[in-house]
Amino acid sequence: MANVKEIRNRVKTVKNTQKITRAMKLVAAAKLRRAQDAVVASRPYTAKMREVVGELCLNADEEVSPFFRNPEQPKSALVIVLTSDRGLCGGYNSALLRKLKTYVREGAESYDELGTAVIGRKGREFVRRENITVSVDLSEYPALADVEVASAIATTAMDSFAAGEIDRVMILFNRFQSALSQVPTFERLLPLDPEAFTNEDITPRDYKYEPNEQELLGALIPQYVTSQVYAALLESVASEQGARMTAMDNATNNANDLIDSLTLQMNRARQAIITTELMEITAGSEALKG
Amino acid sequence: MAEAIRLEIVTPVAAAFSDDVSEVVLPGVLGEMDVMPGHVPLMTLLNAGSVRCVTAAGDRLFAISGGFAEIGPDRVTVMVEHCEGTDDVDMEHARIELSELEKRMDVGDFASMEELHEENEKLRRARARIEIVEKATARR
Repeated sequence: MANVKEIRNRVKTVKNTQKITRAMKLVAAAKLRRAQDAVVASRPYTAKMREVVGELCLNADEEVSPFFRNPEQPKSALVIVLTSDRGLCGGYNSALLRKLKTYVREGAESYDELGTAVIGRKGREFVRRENITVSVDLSEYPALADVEVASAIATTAMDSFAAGEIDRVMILFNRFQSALSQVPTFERLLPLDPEAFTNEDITPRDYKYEPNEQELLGALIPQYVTSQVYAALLESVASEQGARMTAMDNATNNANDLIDSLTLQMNRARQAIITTELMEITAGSEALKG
Repeated sequence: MAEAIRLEIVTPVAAAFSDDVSEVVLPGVLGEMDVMPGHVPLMTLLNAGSVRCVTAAGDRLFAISGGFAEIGPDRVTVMVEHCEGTDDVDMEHARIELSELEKRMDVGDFASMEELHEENEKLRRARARIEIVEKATARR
């Protein structure tokens, strides 16, 4: 049986670790609340943007804007992957990256070229390890929900798309459902799909347009794509904090179980020593009585 | 005819303003425009610049980046990436930024038309920032 002192030391280390996991859980909970507030605050903008672009899209094609270019056989694709900079957030990154790996394997058949653009240190480490092509380097941007970051990502993607270098832009991120569940989701960013808007109830109103419909749409598309990327970033950050909160909560509970079982072991070991000592004493005194 | 316009200024970060106003002045791409209640439905692009609206409690001023506005008879929705009220502007910082931007504009060494447009938009925003604060203080 292990000696009492060793077990006591282990209990101490587990308790220290538990303190850290508990603190991390509280921090993640606070950050999650902030991230959720940001999601709620951005909703009116995103919704309105979608409505207006959808309305203008109804009879738009490639003539109007290069971002409607939709070849029958897309040759090259870009996947924008949103991961986190930091770990200790359960299956948050691994579930998403597993999905990416499958997609890249399957996509290799349908696309001539399939590149990625990765946000977050965890994702960058993964693509390096798995030898996945990185076609756009986004390593200067932190994994934060920030309009500037969203705008930079959107601009890079739109530039390559407009130049004809890529035919498809997808974005892969964790959609936030609750602190317990985040769903890795693919969304098509480009080309824009006028059909995607039609199932929403858009009532075409009799608007006048300034300067004119085409130019208005042309100017709105970059703003729209940015808002889509921003929404994905927000979801992704909320998911990260949710996943971390859950993971750290589990870790804290596991530490509790471990402490309980170690304490039990320690008490048993101590009792065993006492019993042995007592037996030695009685045996000794019996022997003396002779 | 509608008596008031519901003005909403929305950015990706928050709803910056939402209230009933009797008049809105917007920096449209084809020129500054004054919107009164009962306006025909109109969708317009906006330049970076200043927005002025008349509320029951007096005038309110905002400096916005470029974006667009959806105008109806009884509502105006302004969609922009950035919007600052008079309290958000740090005058000292804004003046320094403006003079830097003006200097760059004077040198006029731009790689492309896009860059020129971007600089121009920044300049407009910087001017609007100072303009709204100056107007607001003059009124007080």
